[in-house]
Amino acid sequence: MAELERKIIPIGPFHPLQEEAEYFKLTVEGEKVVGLDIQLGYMHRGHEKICEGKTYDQIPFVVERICGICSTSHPFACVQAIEDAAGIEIPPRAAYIRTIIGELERLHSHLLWVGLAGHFLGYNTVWMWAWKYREPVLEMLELITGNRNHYAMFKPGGVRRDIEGGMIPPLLQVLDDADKKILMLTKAILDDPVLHKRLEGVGVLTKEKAVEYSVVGPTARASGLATDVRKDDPHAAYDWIEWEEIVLHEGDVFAKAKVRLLECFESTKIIRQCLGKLKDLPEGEIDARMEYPPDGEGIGRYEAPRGEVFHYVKGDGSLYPRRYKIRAPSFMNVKSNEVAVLGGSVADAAITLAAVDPCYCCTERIAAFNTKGKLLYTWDDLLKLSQEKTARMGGGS
Amino acid sequence: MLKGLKKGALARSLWVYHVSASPCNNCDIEILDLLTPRFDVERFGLLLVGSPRHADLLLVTGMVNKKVLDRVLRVYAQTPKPCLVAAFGSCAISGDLFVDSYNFAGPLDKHIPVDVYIGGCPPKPEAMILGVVRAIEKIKKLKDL
Amino acid sequence: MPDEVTKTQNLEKNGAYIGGKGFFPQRDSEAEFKRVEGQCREFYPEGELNLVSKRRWYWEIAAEDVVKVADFCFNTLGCRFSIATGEDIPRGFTILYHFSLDRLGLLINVRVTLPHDDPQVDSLSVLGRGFEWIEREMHEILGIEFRGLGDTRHLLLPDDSPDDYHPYRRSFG
Repeated sequence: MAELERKIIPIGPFHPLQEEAEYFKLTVEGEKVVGLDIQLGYMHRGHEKICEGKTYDQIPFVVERICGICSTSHPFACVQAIEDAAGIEIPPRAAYIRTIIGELERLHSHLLWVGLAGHFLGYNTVWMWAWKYREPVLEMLELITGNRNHYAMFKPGGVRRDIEGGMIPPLLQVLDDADKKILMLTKAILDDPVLHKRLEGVGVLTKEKAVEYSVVGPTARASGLATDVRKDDPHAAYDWIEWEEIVLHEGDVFAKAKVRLLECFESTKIIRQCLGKLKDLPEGEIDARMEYPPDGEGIGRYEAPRGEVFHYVKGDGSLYPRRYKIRAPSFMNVKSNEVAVLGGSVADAAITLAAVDPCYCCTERIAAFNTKGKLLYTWDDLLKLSQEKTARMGGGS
Repeated sequence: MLKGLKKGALARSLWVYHVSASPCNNCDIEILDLLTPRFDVERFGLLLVGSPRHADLLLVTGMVNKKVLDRVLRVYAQTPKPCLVAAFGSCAISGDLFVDSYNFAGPLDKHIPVDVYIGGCPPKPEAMILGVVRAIEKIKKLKDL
Repeated sequence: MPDEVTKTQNLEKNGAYIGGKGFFPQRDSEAEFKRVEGQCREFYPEGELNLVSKRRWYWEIAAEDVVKVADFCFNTLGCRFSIATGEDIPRGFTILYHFSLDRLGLLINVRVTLPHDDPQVDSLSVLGRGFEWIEREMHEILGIEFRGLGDTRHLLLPDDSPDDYHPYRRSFG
């Protein structure tokens, strides 16, 4: 019998509608995936160098544009790094407002992921519904901050805008609605037997490999690692309210989906408690003025929807930083795909690669090649394979 | 008469291909958002296609960086003419805050001719629909097709 | 968390979803911090350990001992590798390795300094695959040689960039 040839399959970028398919190199023997090589470089914009030429109050606007989905996570970590270097304490009202914005963003980002995962699996209804229920969250963000994305709320020392009393009732209404809709989506996804068969045991990342690749975020928490910067490194208002960290042990795509869905409930809980506490604090005290630029090193971290965002700033007392380092969570998570796709079938590759919720703009884009350089399937083909597999199992809509 | 038919057909159903030239993905998400029930552009005949060879309108997002410039030019060459190009978002229009970067390869209209500029960071979905309407008006004004 | 979700998913029975005030109740304990500090000083007394604040420690070590100290942080203490920062300063290149001890929320930042004319250091990819990408990035943006790093292709810059193009280098003197 002829030896099974090793072929490589190129998988295009994450979003199915982006151009060019040559970022992931999957090595395939027959139907099974035996290797993955990743190529980056298409989104590198040189943010760190740009930040060296901007003053400390301009940097939060620059880092906000690193990513559009985890848009507030980068300024959150950035202002914490500057405050760590300069030794500034922010007023409590600012801490609660920061927490509210961060958790609203987590809600919209997880709903976005649920929608895209549904699309990759062939459940287009899930896609449309998840994104429809994401709209009220974006409207609330627009009410509070003025924009659906890129909120520009953070500054070193506090926040730029206050949440006034009149904004709170519509926000609570939206949270109640969101809770009901997320519960419905959660039950629809977690109770579907076809999805169980499709996702359980697929793309498993064991705990040892999770430690070796130093993964973060829901990817790590689904593999048994209890790492969540909100609990580990106390900042903003996370230590002043009650909420729970979610850790599962299976490490497969189903566990990653479960972690994200259950985190949405925790987010609404956090936002409600923060809104309750805001009523007791006087309006207007949202900013501690930064007297002098920082002279020294500072590190700020935040738990973005994808994992830990890490910012390091080194100041020398002048208006501009000497060195600014940014590390987005997908930089660590995407590489773990090398082991997660092994042994799986080609049809499962699309959902496995999407399960770490890669934010390629944060990391870079990834290309798939084949070992001999022969193009077998494009991204659209792989997407179709994934959707067809679900249809064969009896699911999808 | 055929020309009028062609123009009419093109204007009623634009097929859009999305080119992402190192964006921050915010504009891309807003484009995908247009397909969702709240805005639902498919009722206008707009369709997002998977290949540049089927496209009438190229929607380019992102500040064009040096590695991706070659691909953008190739996609433009592959798209059958007449095609319109829309620069979506302030990064594609002018480079936004990335003009100082060592990896910046120039705003989009330095390399390919742009017909519609849709501004914003990110442009709201309503702005994108307005941009498409302007593109359709431009098609109707084209003398030859 | 709605009860119906907890019940149908059998979350508590499967050992998952342990919530509350955090997995590590000793997160704020002074004694635990002192114990870790003692371990660090005992393991590598030649280094200079600065406790800049409760959760930010900076440890200056010699470049030859980087694998030894990184192995101590990664395997013995149980830290997670967060990232590494490379910088070009007047006295040489510095690499700051950021290790995060999650159960205390502590960041141990290990710094090595390399000379300008021959920036070479041992690669940490022997400890795990998570170190590879950042070393590739520092290799291309600063020109630092990592001995033992197998894959030295370009990560972020275009493939046709010239070999001596290192955008983050500065010119001193």
